[in-house]
Formats: sequence, C-alpha cells, structure tokens
Amino acid sequence: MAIDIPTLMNSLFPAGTLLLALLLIFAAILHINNLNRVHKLMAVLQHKKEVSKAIFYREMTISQGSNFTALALAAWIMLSVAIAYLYLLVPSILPFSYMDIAELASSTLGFAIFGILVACLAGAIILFLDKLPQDHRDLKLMELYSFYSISKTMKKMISMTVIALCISVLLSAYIGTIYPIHSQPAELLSLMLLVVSAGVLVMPIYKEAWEARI
Amino acid sequence: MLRLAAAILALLLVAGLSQAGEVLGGGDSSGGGDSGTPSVSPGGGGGGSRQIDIDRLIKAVKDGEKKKPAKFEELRTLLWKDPITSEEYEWPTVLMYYKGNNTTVSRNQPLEIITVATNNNPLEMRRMLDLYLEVKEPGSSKYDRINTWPEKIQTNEYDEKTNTTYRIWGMLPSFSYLKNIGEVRIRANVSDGVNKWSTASYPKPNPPFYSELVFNVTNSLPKMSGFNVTPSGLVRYNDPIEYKANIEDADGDLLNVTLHILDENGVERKNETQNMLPGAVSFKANEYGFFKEADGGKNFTYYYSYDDGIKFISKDSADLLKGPNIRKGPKLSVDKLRFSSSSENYYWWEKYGFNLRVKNLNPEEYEVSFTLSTKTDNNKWNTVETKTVKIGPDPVEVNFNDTKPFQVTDAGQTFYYRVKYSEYDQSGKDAMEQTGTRINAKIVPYSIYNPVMVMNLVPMLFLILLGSFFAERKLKKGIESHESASGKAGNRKNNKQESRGKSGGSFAGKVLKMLRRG
Repeated sequence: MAIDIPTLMNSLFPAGTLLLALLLIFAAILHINNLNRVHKLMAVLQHKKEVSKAIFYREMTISQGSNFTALALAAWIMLSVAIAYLYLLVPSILPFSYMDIAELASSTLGFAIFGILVACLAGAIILFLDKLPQDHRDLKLMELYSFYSISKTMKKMISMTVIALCISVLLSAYIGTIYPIHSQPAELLSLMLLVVSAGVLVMPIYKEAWEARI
Repeated sequence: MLRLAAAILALLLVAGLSQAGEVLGGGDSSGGGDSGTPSVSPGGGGGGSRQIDIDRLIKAVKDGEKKKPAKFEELRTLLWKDPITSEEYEWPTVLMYYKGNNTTVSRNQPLEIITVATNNNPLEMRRMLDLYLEVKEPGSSKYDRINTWPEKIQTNEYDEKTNTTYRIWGMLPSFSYLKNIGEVRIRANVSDGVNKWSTASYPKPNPPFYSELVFNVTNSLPKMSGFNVTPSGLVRYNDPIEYKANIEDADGDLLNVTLHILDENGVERKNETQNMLPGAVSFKANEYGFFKEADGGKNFTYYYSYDDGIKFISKDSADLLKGPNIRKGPKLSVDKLRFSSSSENYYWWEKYGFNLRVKNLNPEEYEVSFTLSTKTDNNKWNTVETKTVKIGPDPVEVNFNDTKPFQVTDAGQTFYYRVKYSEYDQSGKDAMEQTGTRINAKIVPYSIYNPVMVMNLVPMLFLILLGSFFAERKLKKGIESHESASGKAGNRKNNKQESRGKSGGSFAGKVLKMLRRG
C-alpha cells in the first residue's frame, strides 16, 4: 500500500499534539501515584498505620541545588511559552489565535508582550501552587524534582531543555511572521522540540514509576 | 292578524332559504320542537329533514342584516306592516341634544351631534322612526340632508323607564369639510311612517335639548416662521440647497405652501407648491431644479405664500428673504484615477501612491481641493490626505505620494479608493472611486531575522530565564526551604545572607551574583 506523504505529514502535527498532552497528563497522574505508593510503603516500613504527610514529605525531600531548580523552573515556564507560541500564535489548530489581535500582532513589541504575558501567567500559576498547604506538596511544581533522585546527566538534560524550548519558541515565532503562509517543517520541528523537552522534563517521574514496577 | 301573517311569511321565506342551503336547520320532521318553541317543518321532505326554531330564525335574520343588507332590506319590505292609527297615538318628541356650552367651534374641533327621541306610546302603538340630519352651511339659504339612508329608531329600543332613545351622528364628526366659515344650523327631520315633522318645529325646549343646534364655526390662520436657506454663504448651483421653514395651523388643516424664488431683478424665477400638514417646510433645490450652471454669480431672494383652503396669505415674510448666493466655479474634467504600491506584494504596511488627471473645462483657473479616502470591503471611508491644487484649462496631475492608508485590520481584504473634489466634474459628480486590489493577508511586518523580532524574542527569553532565577532565589526551593523543612537550617543561611549583604554593588553585579549562587 502506497503511503500518502502529504496526509502523513498532516496527521503528524495532531498526533504530536496528542502525544504531548498524554505525556503531561500521565506524568501528573504517575507523580501523584508515585508519592502515594511511597507514602504507603513508609507506613509499612515504620510499622505504623499511617505516616503524616508532613513527615512523609520532609523525609522524601532531596535538595537538588538552587541553580538546577531555577533552570527547571525556567524550563517549565519556557514550556508554557513554547506551547502558547505554537498553538496560540497562529490559528493552526484552534480557531482563535494571537493573530486575531492584529494590532498587537503587528506592533513593534507584540511578540515580546505576548510571550511575557504567557510567562507571567505560567509563573503566577506556579507561585499559586507553591502557596498550597504543606500536605499538598505533591502539587507544587517548584518542588517536583525534590521527591526524585536525579542524576547529574538527567539534570544536565533537564537544563538543556531550556535551549531546546528557546529554539521551539523561535521556530513558532518564525511561523507567526510568515502567517498566513504555513511552514509545515517548522511547525513539526517546533512540536518535536516541545515533545522531546516535555519528555525530558517529566522523565524522572516515568523513571521512578518504571523502577517501582520492576 | 297582519303581524301573524307577516311572521308566517317570514318563516316560510327563511325555510325556503334553508332548503337552498343558506339557513341553519336540523331535527325531525314532526313539526314540533322538544322545547316547545314554535318550529317549522320544510314540508314535503325529500333531501332529509330540517327544523327551524325561532332562535335560529332570529340568528339567521341578524346574520343576514350584516352579511346581506340588500336581502335584509327586501325581507323587511316584505314584512312591513301598516302602522296602527289610533286617536290615542301620541307623536314622539324628537329633539337635538348638545352637551357642550361653547357653540363657537373651529373647523377641525371634534363634535358630538346627538338626536334624542322620547316615545310615550305603548309598545303596540309605537311606530318606527326615520331620522334625517340636515345642515345649513354658512352663506347658504337651504338645509342639506347629510344622510342618504334614514337613521331608523325601532319601536323596541326605547328605555323602559324613560321611554327615550338617541342617535349620535357619527357622519358629522367636525366641520372640517366647510369651505366657508360662519353660522351653521343643524336639525333633524323625523317620519313615523304617517307623519313627518322637524325638530325645528318645537317652540323652545330647555337646554341641553334644542330644536336646532346653532354653531359659530371659526378658522385659525396658518402662520409661518423659522425661514432659512442652507447651506449659508456662497454655494454652488448644484449644492444641496434647501429652503426650510415651519408652518403652524391651530386647526391642523391641510395647507398649500408655495415657495416663490426671485432673481436679482425681483422677477419671479420659479415657484413650487407643496400640499402638507402643519410642520416643517422643506424645498430641496436639486429636487425641483431651481438653479442652473448659468446662475453662477447671482444672488436670489424668495418668499412664501400659503392657504388652508379658506384663507390665502399671499406673501410671507413681508420683506423678501435673501438666499441663496450662487458662486461661480470651474467645471472639472477628471480621469485616470490610479494607484501604485511600493511593491507588488501589496502588504498593508507598504506605502501607496494615488494620482488623477484634472483640468477645467472653462478657461478660468480655480483652486480646487482634492481629498483622498480609502476603505476595505464593508468598512467606512478613511480620509488619507487632502490637497488644494490650482486647476486651469491645462491638465494637471494630482498626486498623493507615499501614503500609508491601511491598517493591519485591512490585511486580506480588497481595498477601494476615492478622490473627492470641491467642485463638480463632467459627470456632475464630486468624487471618483476605483477598486484597488486585495491587500496581502500577511499580518506581521517583520521577518524573523529583522532586528525588531530579535529585540522581541531575545529579551523575552532572557527575561524568563532571569525571572526564574529570581523566583528561585526568593523562594529558596533549591536548598534552604528543603533544609528548613527537614530541620537542617543552620548558620549557613545567615552566612549566605551576610555575604549577600556584603556583595552590594551595581544591578549587573547583583544579577551575576544571583546567577552564580548554587
């Protein structure tokens, strides 16, 4: 059966989008599951019926270093900006886009304003989650990596996602500048960088889940 | 006996109609109803049995009065019975009635003319009355009958206690139809089938009853005000010149208003009449073709005349009113309206040029202003630039160079351009319009390697990075908070703060120190 290349290319973007969404959703589920599992295990090991969450989180906490934490935070914010640039800059999938606000889109600082607004929004959400009670530290994105053993290589990889996401943002910005012309290679490359970066960012969670299974 | 014969005749007639399918009926053919009411059998059968009771008969006759008045009249003639003549019969008293005090009325004032009849005879002796209303108009020597058909008062419609009834004459709601004003007399003529008399024959009844109603009908003069001609000052002969005024009439009469236009010698140039109700008066010069090109340089005057059908005002105002003053001007010949763009891409941010060729068909030279406007699709016209150029008999190119007429919202739409001039062209128009082309749909005017884009993206990414470091340093999620959470907080924190306090220095130094810490 002959492969229809244009159809295949057209289906790659939705498929990549789905993969990205599933990657992040499953990571969230697995993260909570990982912590719950260890929480129960701790109670069993200490021969107690229940260990308080506060004690559990205190015992689980591993300091990852401030530079790494800052870079991880930057990577997560950058991921939000890259997603917004890819999906909201031009109406490639969604019916609405930043290009609908034509005055802003064509202004001298339009792209910067858009990116900074998204970054501020993402930062605000992260800071809001950080204000949750200590019993809900599993939901704090800034402390995500505090519950996992992360190797130096992994830390480097997570730090490198900042660069990959910057490239993704630049590619999406390029797509915005040529709109309404489409550049499928640029879209796919931008999405690919997004998916890879997201995968690296949540890799410790999957790794932990995989190791626990074994 | 006569009444009985008439009733039987009516029943037979209606029964005949019912057989023709026009009258309701039904039931058995026994000739008797179960309620004991009189009933008529169609007799002879054939085609089913039908029963006509008295209620249905009355209903059929009432319906006939509304739906078939001619047939109803025919039936009534058939059922007519001669009036009872008796020495005890008393003539009914019929008088005019007017409840108002003021008998001086304007022509359009609503009136309620009423005739009241009192019949003291027993019901059996009463006769149906025919009433005719008669009016004597101002200046007339005779009474004119208003109603062609008599207004009938039936024997059974009198009030049981007072033996009176009345008729409101709706056909005379006011005196607006009068062509003259003055005294109007109204009376009613009465006939009971045997005797005829007039309400005027009663000597002097007490008000509000009258043998005759006498009204003094007046007329209010219409009045004009607020004379004006727009636009004021010097105008072109084909400008939208409008004569405006207000006309009032207390009676609300239909008015004939005539505008008289006089030339510089006081000779009437033209007059036009409008048939209108009181209110705003408006004569638009272009509609009536008051002025021509040859009127350039002339000053006109005007006045109004008007009437309300009774009174004619020959001149208002007394002095002639001034306007309009027509100015001389060129007659343009305009062609070759074109546009050009700085590139063939037709981006919204590009510079566009527009030009047209103009000359004066007359030998003089005039200053003419040209206004360039553009629009896209269904949007409004947007003025781009205005220029004043001297136009003589030699053709002149009017150029609008390096304009930026479009916004980002125009991207992807077809544009139109128009040049409007302060004089009229060879077609009698004051503007020329053309369709441009479709503006490129591209929105962002910068390429990715443009310095503007570099200045957008690089600082943005740097700010995100810097902001993240700043947030981490403030929240201390990397080391201190965890150490604090696990009870390991020690002198290290204080030492750090001390060293930070010492670092001081410039903003750049602080940023570098913040990034170095780990």
